[in-house]
Amino acid sequence: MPITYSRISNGDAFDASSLNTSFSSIETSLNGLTQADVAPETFGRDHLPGLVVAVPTPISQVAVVEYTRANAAYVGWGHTPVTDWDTINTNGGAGGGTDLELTISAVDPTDSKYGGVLVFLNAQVQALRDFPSSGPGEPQNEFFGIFAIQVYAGSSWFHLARTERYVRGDILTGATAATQSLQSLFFDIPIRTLIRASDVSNNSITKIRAVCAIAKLDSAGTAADHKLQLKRCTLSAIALQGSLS
Amino acid sequence: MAWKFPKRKIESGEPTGVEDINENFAEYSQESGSINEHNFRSNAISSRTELAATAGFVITSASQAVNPNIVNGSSGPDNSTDGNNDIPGTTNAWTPIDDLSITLKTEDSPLWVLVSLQHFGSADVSFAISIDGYVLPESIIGGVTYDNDPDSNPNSGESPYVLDAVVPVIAGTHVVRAVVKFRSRVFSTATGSLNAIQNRELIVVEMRR
Repeated sequence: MPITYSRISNGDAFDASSLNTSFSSIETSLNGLTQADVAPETFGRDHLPGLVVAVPTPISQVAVVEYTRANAAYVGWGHTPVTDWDTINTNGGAGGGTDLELTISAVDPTDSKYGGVLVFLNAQVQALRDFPSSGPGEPQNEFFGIFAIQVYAGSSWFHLARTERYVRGDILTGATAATQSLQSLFFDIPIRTLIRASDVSNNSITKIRAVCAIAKLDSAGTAADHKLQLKRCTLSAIALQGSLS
Repeated sequence: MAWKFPKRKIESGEPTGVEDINENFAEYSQESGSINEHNFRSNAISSRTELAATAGFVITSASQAVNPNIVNGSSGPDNSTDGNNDIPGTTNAWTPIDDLSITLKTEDSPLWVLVSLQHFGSADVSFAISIDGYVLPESIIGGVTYDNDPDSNPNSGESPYVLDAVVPVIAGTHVVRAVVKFRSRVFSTATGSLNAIQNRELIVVEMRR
């Protein structure tokens, strides 16, 4: 809104009072600036902060790793304690390597301007089957590979049961009875989720990781030969400022 | 525009003229109402706490958690233990997936829509994103012309899927849904083990700026 400025004319009093009147009109206008006083598209990337609260470096692992029903058996939907789950790891079910885990600068999910953390996981299942020392092994379609997202807030890990996904092994059409359960699967497991304040009970999210497990629909066979083989796995996340509803 | 100095710079000891003062005041008064990018220094707003929550992204999500009832060494998944299984039936038409529907009021903005879900069953199915009842062809998992290409749909048994799309919308109220369509190639008469959608999540990111 333009300022109505009364010009000082020749012959007018030119003193503290008249100057104060002019200054006051400027002061009043500056203090009452509205949205309409700012030209559209005034604020650009040079003026405003990023709307990204945190972007951890995505983590990938590419080597083939193995999990078996002996070292990474499925513990059940939404199972706690979360430490019973096996994190996807560069050493597979044996553990001890590098976990598929992101570390982000602390995000407070109770901040009203926190829009949540978007999480993206893709895990490539190379094989999900029996690896018997002899014979055709157990039918491949009796095996399940299970995956999920966990988040670390405060000093605890939280398992997000709604992110659990599973894939069933597949008996491939055209294979012989002797080999149909010995084929690789090559299947991508995608998970997307939005971590919200209600997912955790602490106010500082600092880590996100991916877990996996293997299950079989009966107890036949040798558990250590029942394997979930993963190849390329990638976990990434982005925390955004925004209104969350 | 930015100011470098007043139009009439008054030096020390110089007599002050009325017009000089007027012109200096007028410079400020004319600027008000047309403040633009030159009037704010770089990084003028350095903290995101100074921004309104709705300045950039408005994020909405809906989800449902479903126990598939897998028991290692004992049983595989089913679609009957957990009451939150969504069983779309065998109608060959796009059907909204339970709990994955969001109604939101937007500005003129692009919407980034993400769907992540678990499919139970081995019949052919297709999944897609719909906005205001319109199914986005580019979001369909499976074939668009099923009659012409009956092998184009997922039929690999239990497996998870992800869909996403970026869609510009006009200001107003919109309904975003994840939808599913049953295909009858494998089970022309489906009995017992009907398909189901289990763990599932719909995320809508309105990108206002």
